[in-house]
Amino acid sequence: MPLVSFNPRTPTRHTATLWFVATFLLAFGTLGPVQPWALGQTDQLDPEAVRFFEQNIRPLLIKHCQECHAHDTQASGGLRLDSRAGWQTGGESGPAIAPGDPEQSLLWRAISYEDPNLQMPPAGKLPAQELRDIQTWIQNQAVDPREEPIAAQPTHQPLTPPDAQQHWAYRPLQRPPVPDSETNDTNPIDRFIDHELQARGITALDQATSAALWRRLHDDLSGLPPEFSHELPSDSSSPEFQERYHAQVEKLLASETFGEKFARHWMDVVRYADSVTLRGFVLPNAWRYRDYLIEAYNLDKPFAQMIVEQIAGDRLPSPSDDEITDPVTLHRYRQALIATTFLTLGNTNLETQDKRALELDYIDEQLDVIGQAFLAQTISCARCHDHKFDPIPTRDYYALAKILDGSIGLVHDNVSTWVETPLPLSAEEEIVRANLVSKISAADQELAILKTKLAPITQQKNIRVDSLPGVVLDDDQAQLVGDWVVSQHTAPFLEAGYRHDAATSRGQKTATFQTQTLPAGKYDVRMSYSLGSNRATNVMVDVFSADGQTTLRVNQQERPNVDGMWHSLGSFRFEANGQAYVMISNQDADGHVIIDGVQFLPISEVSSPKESKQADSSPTGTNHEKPIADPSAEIREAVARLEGERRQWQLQLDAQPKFMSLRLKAEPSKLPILIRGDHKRPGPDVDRGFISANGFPETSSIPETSDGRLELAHWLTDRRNPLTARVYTNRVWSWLMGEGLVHSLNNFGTTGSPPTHPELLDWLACELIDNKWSTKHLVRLIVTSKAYQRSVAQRASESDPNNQWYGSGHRRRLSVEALRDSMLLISGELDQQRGGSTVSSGTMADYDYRHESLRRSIYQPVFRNALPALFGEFDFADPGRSIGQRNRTTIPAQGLVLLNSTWVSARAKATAQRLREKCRENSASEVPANVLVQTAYQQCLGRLASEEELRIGRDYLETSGHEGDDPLVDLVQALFGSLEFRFLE
Amino acid sequence: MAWSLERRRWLQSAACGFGALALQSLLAGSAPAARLLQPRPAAKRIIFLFMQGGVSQVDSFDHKPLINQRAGEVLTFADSRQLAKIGRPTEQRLLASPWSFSQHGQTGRWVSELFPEMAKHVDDLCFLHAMHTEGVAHGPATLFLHCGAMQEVRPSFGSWVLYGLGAENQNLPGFVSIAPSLGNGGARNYGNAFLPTTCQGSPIGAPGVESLEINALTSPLAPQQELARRELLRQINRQQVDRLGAADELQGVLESYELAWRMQAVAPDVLDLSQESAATLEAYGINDPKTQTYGRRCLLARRLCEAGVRFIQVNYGDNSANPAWDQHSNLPKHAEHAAAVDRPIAGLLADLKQRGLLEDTIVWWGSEFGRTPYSENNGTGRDHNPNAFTMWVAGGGFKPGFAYGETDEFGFQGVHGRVHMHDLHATLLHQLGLDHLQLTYKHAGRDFRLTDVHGRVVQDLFS
Repeated sequence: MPLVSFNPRTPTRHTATLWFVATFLLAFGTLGPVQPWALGQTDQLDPEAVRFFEQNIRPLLIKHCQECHAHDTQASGGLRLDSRAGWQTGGESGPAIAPGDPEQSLLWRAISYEDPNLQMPPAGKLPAQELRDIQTWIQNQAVDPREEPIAAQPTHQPLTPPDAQQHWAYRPLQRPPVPDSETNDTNPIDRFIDHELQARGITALDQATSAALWRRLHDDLSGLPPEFSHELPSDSSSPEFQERYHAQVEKLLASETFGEKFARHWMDVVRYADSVTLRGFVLPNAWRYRDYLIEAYNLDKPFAQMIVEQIAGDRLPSPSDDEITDPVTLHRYRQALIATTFLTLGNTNLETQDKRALELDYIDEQLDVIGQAFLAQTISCARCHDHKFDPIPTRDYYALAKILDGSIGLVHDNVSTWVETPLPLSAEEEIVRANLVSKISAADQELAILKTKLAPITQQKNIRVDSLPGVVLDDDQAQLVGDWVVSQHTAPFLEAGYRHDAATSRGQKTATFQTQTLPAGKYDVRMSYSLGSNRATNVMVDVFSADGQTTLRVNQQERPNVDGMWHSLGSFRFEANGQAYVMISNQDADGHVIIDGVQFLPISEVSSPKESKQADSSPTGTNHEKPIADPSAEIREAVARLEGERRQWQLQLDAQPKFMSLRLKAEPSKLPILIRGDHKRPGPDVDRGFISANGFPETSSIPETSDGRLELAHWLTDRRNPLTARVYTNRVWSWLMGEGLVHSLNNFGTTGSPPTHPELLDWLACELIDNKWSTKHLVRLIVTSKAYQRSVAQRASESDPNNQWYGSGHRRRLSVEALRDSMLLISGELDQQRGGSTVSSGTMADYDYRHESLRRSIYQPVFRNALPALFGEFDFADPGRSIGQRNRTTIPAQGLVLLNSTWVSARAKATAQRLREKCRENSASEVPANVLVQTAYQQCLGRLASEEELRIGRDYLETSGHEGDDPLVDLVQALFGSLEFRFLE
Repeated sequence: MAWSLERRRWLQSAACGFGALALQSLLAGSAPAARLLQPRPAAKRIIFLFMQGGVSQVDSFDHKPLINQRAGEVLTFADSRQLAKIGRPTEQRLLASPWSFSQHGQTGRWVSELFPEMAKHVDDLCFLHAMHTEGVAHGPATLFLHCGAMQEVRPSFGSWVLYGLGAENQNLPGFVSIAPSLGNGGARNYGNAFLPTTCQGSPIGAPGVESLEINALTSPLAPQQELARRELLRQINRQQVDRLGAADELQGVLESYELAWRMQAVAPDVLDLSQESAATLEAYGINDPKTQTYGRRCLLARRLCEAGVRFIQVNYGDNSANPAWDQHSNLPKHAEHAAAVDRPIAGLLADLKQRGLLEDTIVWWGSEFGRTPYSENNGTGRDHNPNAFTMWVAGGGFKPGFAYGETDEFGFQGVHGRVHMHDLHATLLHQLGLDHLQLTYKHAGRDFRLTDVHGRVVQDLFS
């Protein structure tokens, strides 16, 4: 049987003493010496008591408890019950037993099953006799002869911050000397690489062929295949080729396709996405961050600056009103703000009901990404306990968490939402905005006046439901719980009358207005009630929509705001077959509660002028009635017109650019250390700070007045930080060389892999810092090295099977983006338009989204529930978490999708057509099969076909004709599926 | 049926030899699968019948007469949603169950009139009446049910199973989710997260759609032309191997094509329900418009099960935020859903049993959580209850005709034999021969497992 655990899932309540013990233990280490005040033992144990223990208690503990609470099992909750010291020290909640006092013993509280949050053993309450035995035992001082088991000491000792320097990654970064070389290699990278190769007796391979190298360079720097050229010098080591190669490096670095390629690398690391999984909510402004990255890489913005902007772009000094009139300054300011979207892109579970828990999960996710992206540290391991391997104590985790807790990226509701903030505007834009705001406020005033004129003349007594637009439910159609009294006392009302609760049985009456037939969409939900002075001012109304339950309070002494009849409850989203109902209750009501009717009035979701015009025609819900002699008709018309205009202005105002962001909290964070990461179990306070293992600064340097994010950014980019430059350099290396110098790109901790070339890594990291953190500088250095240009080995070398010494090139598979973009480029269909939002307008949720755009893959929305074609099969980075190195899998689904999917077939068809056109340009007559095959190889693989390949292709074209089918399409699709298309030499 | 055993053996033997070798190379680089607990585990595969939205236990299998006797009374409950929001218990009004209960089978198990067909099988079922889980809302609880985590991105149960056991049939995906919902975690509920891509679940069909197909499984080409194109691709690749060398990685791609083509040959056969007899179709309720959708899914599950798929999830749900069984209002709507699944599930149980498949197949039934015995906001439906709900398992070495755990007099909270979702995960893995403590995968610097740092195997459930 399993056993007592002070289950970390369920919060426990403690006496003040126990709290103190728990926090003390946490602060000073839980495996310390036995606390004297917890001792109930003497040196001389009472033999009778020992006998009682051996007979009654020991077997019971073994049977029920030690499966989970022993040094050699899980020690669940940190508690061990296999020795005296185990329960004396206790687990995370403190000592388990207060000898002599069962009521003060956590163990007793757990097994007595009286606290619903602390019940052990989990399988059920112990038999009464066993409970009595434990009670007796505790009352008699809990005599326990068992000593500490020998193996109870932890076998693995993690590094502590003071010892951190034992691990390479935490040692200070210094530029090592470049090894001497016999040849006059000018590229220091080759000196480092060759030095190691020579030391290991590995012979390096020659340069790759010029065609292979050309394709490699283009893929690495632009993600697109090169145009086939007959003029490329065939000898890749010739000076002519090298000259062209260097020129091409510069050309590609200067091209905007460079940013498109490199931004996508970084987007893997920062778990970029355009939606969240749950409910498929589209993040309509995430793309601004993607475009920020593309621009930053194209401008070669110092990476340190990119870090500062991503962590704290909103905390940088903002330009003055004067400065902002300069468009360049304004643009820079906007870009820095947009960069902070980095912190908001987690795949957050917005539904979590415990909102503080949600906030802390959000922060945990931020820390996880910050830790992995910039420091290659698994910080979030330290949320519940000190890191088991790396020198990251829980204290450091909360020091960082407290910084992030100074801001919030959520707006809470039943389903919380993210924060969107308007971007700063230019002077002209600001004028437009101010103009809109003043127009709207003028319209509001005028509407108020018009409506007071209108109110007294709306004197129809009863209004028919079928005279109203939308879905209207009368109180007769409501599901009623409790006794509701029908009345016609105060007009107007819907149909035959309304009902009230007679102001009795508070909290026991409800009326549910439910519709089964509501088409999906957004609705203005309204309720009607008849006005009166005895009405409740706090009627509880719950709207159940696709976004959950929204609770409102309605004052029924106030005139309903639409036509003196309808009170708008707000706009809500409903799904087909989803819940759609309004529940009115008399809970806590301070007067009569009236129910008369509920209206679901569709509102146009899309902000296009055409569609909103349609919406304008029914703004009040009453203009469908056309009583000819109605004296109010003119006023109604004016109201309708004005409301329509107002809606237009509001839409324009809403359309102003916003970005996903954080809000600074009004109060500084008071987040303490949380025991076991549980916010209901606060531990000791902690000062804001950074990772102490990095060795600097020795004391916290965050001023009281700052939330600390900017300081965090500066700490990350400080030259003395040994991790940041190494981690980023390693990434750039892996993006070009196929493998990192440290293989575990996101983990430089003790469980990661050590660098193969530590000096080269440090030299390059220093080179990065000394060249203004220029990514392009690193890229240029690497791609002009010989190490980069080597050919790929036909078979793995025996002396270096994993090619970790770079004696040959790494074979690379095309990323799914390159695969897709290449097919589109070859088929002539690629839409090379840059930047901007690419989500089809009106998309509220990502489910079943149709990715129809033919733009480059980086511009396809990364929808967590609906990735574009091929993405799922070809190892696209999981957009839920930080990815350093994508999976490299080979699965049958890849073959199936390349050969059978309509998407690839469409590209093959377009390519075949294009090939025929291309061939006809050169010859007026019938194109021979040979020429078609040759052109197909040139276009698809960037090289000439061999004789044998020509024969194979020609045979197929000539013999495999099926009526109506073009064998050239098959050939192209086979080439798309071939090894050389999917892999780079 | 001629199909069943013979076909099953053929499918499996086709998987050996080359297929197994291919998988080896496909998986090259990933960690070895976990050790089996015992040489002959009780079960080889799982069929999970997921009732999305939250079936009410007190209206189905957890009979609590006191609710109806005291219906309308206001009592204090530690309602999970309110507890999460305001941190204290609240007053709630008991809501009577509209359905009457009666006893069934040799074991005299109580079942409500919602499930008259399933009631005939109670002697084969092993009930867990005091399940409890994490998450009050659908999203978190659904992810927790599937992945053992609410917030973090973690591999789903089926992916862990596939990772631990490998595929039984190399010609089919080893983990299939039939008509999975896009909502409440969507693909994450059958995702492999950081496990190798080979462990990811393959969706077949979608909610609200009758057709049951695998993406890109069939070629749009005429069969002759398709075969010719295969040969063309083989020849082109052969030429390229001469140029590029026969590195393992490239060999793996060539093998993956052969595997894809075998799958293309075998899978449509498995997916083709027309091979079944009229009596079988009838037993699964496929002739009745009310039951045909779920009936077809259940029948497909049996066929996949025969073909050696490790983990088959048969979903009853939809893409909305308030899926299927989520009767916050209008509790009587439960009857509609019950009518749609009752007969197909009974048909599946009978069929598996008759074919001897129930012996080494676990059938697992249930929702992400249960429902409260009181009405939500004093209305006409029930709110979510993660504190207590009923699931059942059958076959695969679980005690038939057994009930474990008990809830309080209102079915609101477990009092005995509580089984946490982590515990159930550990227990199910155990029956597949996997130790949940050993089934780990190293990622981001540490070992991960399905049950995190929790979970205990509930030995009492084993026969």
